[in-house]
Amino acid sequence: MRFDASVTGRMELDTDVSLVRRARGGDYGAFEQLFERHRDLVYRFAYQMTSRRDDAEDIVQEAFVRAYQNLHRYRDEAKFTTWLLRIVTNLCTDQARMSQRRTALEQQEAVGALDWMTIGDIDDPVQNLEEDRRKKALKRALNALPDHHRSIIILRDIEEREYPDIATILGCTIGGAKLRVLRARRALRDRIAPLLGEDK
Amino acid sequence: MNGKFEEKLARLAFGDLTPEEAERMEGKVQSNAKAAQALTEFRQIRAGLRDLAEVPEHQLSNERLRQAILARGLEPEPIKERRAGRDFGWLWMPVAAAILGVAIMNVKPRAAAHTAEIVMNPSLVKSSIPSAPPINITFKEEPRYAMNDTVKSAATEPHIGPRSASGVSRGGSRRHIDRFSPGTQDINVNWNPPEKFKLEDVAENATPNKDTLLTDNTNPPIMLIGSTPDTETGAPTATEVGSASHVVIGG
Repeated sequence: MRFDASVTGRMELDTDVSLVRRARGGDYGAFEQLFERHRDLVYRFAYQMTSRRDDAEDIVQEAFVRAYQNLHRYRDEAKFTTWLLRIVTNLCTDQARMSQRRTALEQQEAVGALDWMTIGDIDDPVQNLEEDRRKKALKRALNALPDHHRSIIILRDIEEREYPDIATILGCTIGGAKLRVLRARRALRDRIAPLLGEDK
Repeated sequence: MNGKFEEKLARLAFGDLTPEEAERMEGKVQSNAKAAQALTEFRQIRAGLRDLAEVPEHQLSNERLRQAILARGLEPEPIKERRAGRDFGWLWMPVAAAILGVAIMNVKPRAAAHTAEIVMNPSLVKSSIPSAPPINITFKEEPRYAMNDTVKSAATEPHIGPRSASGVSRGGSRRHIDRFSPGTQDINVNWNPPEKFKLEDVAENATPNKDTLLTDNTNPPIMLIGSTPDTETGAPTATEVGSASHVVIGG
């Protein structure tokens, strides 16, 4: 399952807007179409933020419930997905605050969750081990980042969102979004280096 | 390697530079081993992050969402359209201020009127308390206290001893007290009150007597103007009273 950012075109934007208008008018089927179309994107972002499938699913559900409740607040000039991701970002931040005590457990699960992804990718066992080690270190470093850095990295470097979208989601300027991305990347690199050294 | 150069390396690795900028940076990196290593690290991070995009399948369904929405009894709220010319939201402020002002002006005099009762006719406020009997205090024996010569001389003696700037003496006052302490001097006080301070007179003058008060002409009279007009002349009635103890003045 992979999100293709290039799919979001003008046509889709129009369709989203028309679906939102229908949903506002009481057409629940239109809202279900929006849910089916964007739940993967929202789930992926939520999973990257929480590293737990059940938490991510709860966040997606809550995000769509809130979106449905607040459809009247959505302004047509922004993309529906951008608006939706803004809701999810806030929910993830709240969820992270509540589960700070579970950080160690989350990291453990995240490392475990990586195992199924890395096995059998590369034929050479030595190279496979090295890749596995690097991925684990990267995941640990990402999870150890503060929420504001992590969400930026996920939006830009994992979900490959454009800078204007990121700026809208975070409520800042495009220049501000670029600056935040740079800082987050530097923070990630600073964290991953000692982790790679530890494993060696 | 400074921070700005490192930022450019990161942008190069993540594909945020224009082709011209990227080419220039590649040229700089080739001659710098440290920069080349940093660039490799950033590229590895980027590749690793892309791999992290793979996530386990979710179990989200339309039914689950529908149940969540129904459980909360939600419905999409309609958009409140604003119509030009019909929005009187600003009007409530001056109206509320005017109402508040009128209310304050009406309530304030009423509140003051209830604090005291104005009595225009003194005949209505005759006291029901009986007048107290006159108190006569007499001494069976005259007090026999008189100062002896020692005390008299001490009382007339000028003050001895240094005084501080504030008028309080320390050493001098101590000497003064020692001289007049009861243990060292035998004080015999025999005092006869003068005629004008006799207690009988004082008690008699202090006795409350309403008749005396009302007819006493030594004090200037107090005139009270009645609310009812005189039947013959039509002018307001005036009553003369000797004391204002039962009259409430105000209004």
